[in-house]
Amino acid sequence: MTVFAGHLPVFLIALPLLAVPLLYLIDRLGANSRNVALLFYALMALAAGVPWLPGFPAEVVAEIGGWPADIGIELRLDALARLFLPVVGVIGLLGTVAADPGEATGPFYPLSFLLLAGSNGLILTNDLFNAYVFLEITSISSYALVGFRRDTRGFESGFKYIVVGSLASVLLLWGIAGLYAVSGTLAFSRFAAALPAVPGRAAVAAAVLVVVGLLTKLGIAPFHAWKADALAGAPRSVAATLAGATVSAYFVVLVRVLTTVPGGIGFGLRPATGGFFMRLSAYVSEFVAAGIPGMLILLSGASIIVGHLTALRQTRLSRLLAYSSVAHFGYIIAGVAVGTVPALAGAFLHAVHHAFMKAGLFLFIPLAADSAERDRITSLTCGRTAPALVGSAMIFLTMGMVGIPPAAGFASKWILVLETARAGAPFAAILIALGGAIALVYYLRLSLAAVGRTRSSSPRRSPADVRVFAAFLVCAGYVFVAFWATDLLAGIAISVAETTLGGGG
Amino acid sequence: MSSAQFSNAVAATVRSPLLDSGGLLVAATIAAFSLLAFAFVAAGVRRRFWWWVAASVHVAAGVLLPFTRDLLSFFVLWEMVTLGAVGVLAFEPDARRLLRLYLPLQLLAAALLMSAFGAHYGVSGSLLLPVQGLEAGAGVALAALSIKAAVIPVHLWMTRTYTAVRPETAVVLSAVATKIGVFGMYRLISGGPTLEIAGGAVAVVGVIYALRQKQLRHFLAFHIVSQVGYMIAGVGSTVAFAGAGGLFHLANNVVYKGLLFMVVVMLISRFGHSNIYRMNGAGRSMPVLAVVAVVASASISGLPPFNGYVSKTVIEQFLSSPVAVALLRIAGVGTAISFTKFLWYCFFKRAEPRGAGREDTCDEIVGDNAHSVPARSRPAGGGVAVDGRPAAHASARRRIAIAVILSLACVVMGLAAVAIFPALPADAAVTLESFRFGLVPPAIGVLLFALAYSRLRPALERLPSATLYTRPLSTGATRLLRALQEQHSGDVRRYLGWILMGLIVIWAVVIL
Repeated sequence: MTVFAGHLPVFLIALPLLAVPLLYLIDRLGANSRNVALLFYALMALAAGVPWLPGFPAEVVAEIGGWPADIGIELRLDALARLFLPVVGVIGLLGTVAADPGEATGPFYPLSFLLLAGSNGLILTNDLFNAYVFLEITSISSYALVGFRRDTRGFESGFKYIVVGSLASVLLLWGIAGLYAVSGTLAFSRFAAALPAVPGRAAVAAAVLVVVGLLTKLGIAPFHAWKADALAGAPRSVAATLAGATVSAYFVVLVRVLTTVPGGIGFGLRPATGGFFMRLSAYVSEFVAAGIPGMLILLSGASIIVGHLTALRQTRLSRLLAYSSVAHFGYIIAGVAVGTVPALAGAFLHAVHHAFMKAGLFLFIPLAADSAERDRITSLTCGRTAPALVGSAMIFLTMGMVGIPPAAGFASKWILVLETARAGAPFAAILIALGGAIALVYYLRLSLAAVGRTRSSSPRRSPADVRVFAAFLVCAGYVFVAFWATDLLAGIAISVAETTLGGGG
Repeated sequence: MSSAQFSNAVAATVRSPLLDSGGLLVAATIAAFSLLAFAFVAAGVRRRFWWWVAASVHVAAGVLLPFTRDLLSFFVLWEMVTLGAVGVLAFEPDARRLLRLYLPLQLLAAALLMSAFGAHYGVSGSLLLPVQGLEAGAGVALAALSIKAAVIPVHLWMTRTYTAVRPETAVVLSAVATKIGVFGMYRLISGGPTLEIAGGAVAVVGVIYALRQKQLRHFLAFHIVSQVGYMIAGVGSTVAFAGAGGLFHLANNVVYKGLLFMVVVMLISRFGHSNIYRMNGAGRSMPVLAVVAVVASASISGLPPFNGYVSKTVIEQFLSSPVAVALLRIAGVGTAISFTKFLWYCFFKRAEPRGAGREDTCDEIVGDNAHSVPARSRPAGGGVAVDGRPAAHASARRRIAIAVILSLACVVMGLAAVAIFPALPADAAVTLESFRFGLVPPAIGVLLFALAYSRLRPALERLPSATLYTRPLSTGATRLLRALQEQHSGDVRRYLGWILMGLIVIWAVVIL
């Protein structure tokens, strides 16, 4: 097992990379690459689950070519990677299964595998510069996939995504260079040793650049505006993958940066004494002095407000979902910034839940819209295949997004509210709790519009429909099962949070 | 925190309930009343299956909530009360559109409550129900509970929905939601003189607005606000007996306010409209109903020996703030005026001629009351049953029987108050003495009604209505949302600008 385990991280990146030219060749030769791609993807999703097998070592480090982490490429399959690899694998698989065969032609499948290789690399790498390389692989393949629908809207989305994404990459690269200049290392596991416990201004400035670059990729306000444009123009299956899987990979890198760079997380304010204004000024000055975590809390608050309020007025479902993602990553970042074990566990749990819920809701669009381009909320129906089931599954997913108990999403949100309030950021707690209230309004609008409508008259019902249907139901099923398995999942998230904090120092 | 709590909030409450006399009283009253209310509804127009499910969830969660030991279960049951009510409203043809008002306000309350629990957990490290009130976030929790209790100015969700649903539905709804808010104050807030005075003020303002209503259900809805003021003054006091009085008032209010709603349902089905001034002396054609209405009005006005007298007296006796007592006395006189008006116009006076009462047909608080009586509900009460089914008579008789049971309950709860609720002071009983003092405020009320009501009416008409603050709020919100939309209109240069600006601001804050 250990011999095999030692090669698994390499395998998880190399195999999808290998699939890229292979699938391209098959396509060029005129054969149907679809089934090969699906088979391959399923294999990759299974491989991502291998670390959960009993007997698998707790942490696997693969040094490529025997070079140490300072100069070589080091891959590290730790608890955090183990949690998020299956998320990326399974949601990517669902997105690939649900891809519209009319759209998924030519380089579509090769690009999907490039995206998978990049995402897995992001999750596994122990080196900031390698992270940058994988991030570029991921980004470039996602730019291409967003613009894959070769119409005006697709091009426009892809273009906007490239412009904003490139700026993010540049900021990230500057930040990486800065961190290297200050610390002399790029390995995540060595930042703690290489930097003083209270890093100097140069280190903080560089870390801020890295963090802002990653936050732009994640879509945190005020760096989020590209998100709706990109996701609305992308093919629906790609949007599901990007909003669920790829974002999780970016999130893992962000967590690694924040937990390893000293002063990256750990927001906790002591209650001050004295009169109201004394306490207020003490609170504000402490907040400013809190550095990066304080900034993250403020940005998360901004994301929650801007995301939910902007979603309120959207008329197209894909844009609505994109803005809701902005708000949800606000919740998650608040948990990360607080940085205690339960808060981090809540953030991880919510990230996983959110990935499945959001992917599911993006897959609802092709089921509910009468053509691929149209996703006006007022024109959606509950689909052609089993409308009652689709409708109730969609309502269930939206309940999860809002955080209403019989769906997953309640527990993680509850933890986040409690922990942010405990850490001395009550306004973030109120915003997280209030966010659900606003979300319920727009999701209710969606539910009433889709469920209240009778079935569409068009009798089109293709095998593709059934595949989308199946992928959609898997997401809804996850949300159902995850609620009843909250004990198990929370336990896992807590152990992951413990290792992440322990390993990062 | 143990994650077993998540899936088992309700089960935990059932398995190890918190049994204290206050919780038992509230739960038992809500449960018993709701059974009668369900029977009352069942005697009328057929409801859909899911209406019953939603209403049962609403009531069951309300009955379970007093027994919770921990804040998580409290929150979950609180949400189930809301969800049940939302389900009920969704099956009400005229109230569904009001979900746009109802849901945001209720969810705001839930969010505030959740955050307050978080703050309390942060300070105390425990999610168990606090003994001495929440240690942190009490103010936020109070805001949440006030919304649920429909305190002015966040009463709109209650006054607007209870008047737009089919009349029978209001009977069921009136027993749970606002009461849960007050009960939450009893459990979670340690209180003080400020809260007593706030309660008194709510009672007075509620009565004033109730006095100016012309539609029966608006009139009752504003009296809920006013009665909630009494309860808040009681449970918001640090004196234990005042708290007990507040809870007993809550229980009494469930009974007599529900009874009043039933009376109103029967009046509406008899006359087909709900204008107080055009009821045309219902006392002659419906004598039993008139007696029931008198009992209920006497209870709410605090006339001995009915139950309202006992709880009002206990509250006023034990409050620590004299200002609050004075406010409650004023509210008591106002209540008496208001219900004298109700009895006089509905049961004894002949109707004002239609032309003279022209301005009475519309209510400026809501303004859309013209269709407040769904045509469907009219035949149920018997009198004007157009299709003349004999079943209508049977159902009317059944309804009267339920109302009579409840009026007996008003008397029993008044005479045997201490036996029913041992937490009350031992001398809280109706004696001959109480007739001497207890009759004074209602007598003043009747007198004032007879002498001054006609002069008071135009002044009441000129009071500002809720649009005073709802209109600027809604225009402000619209403008904010439009501005946000503007920032996301697809201009990449603007997106880049935001990113760079954000970066510079963060740098400035974090580094300097």
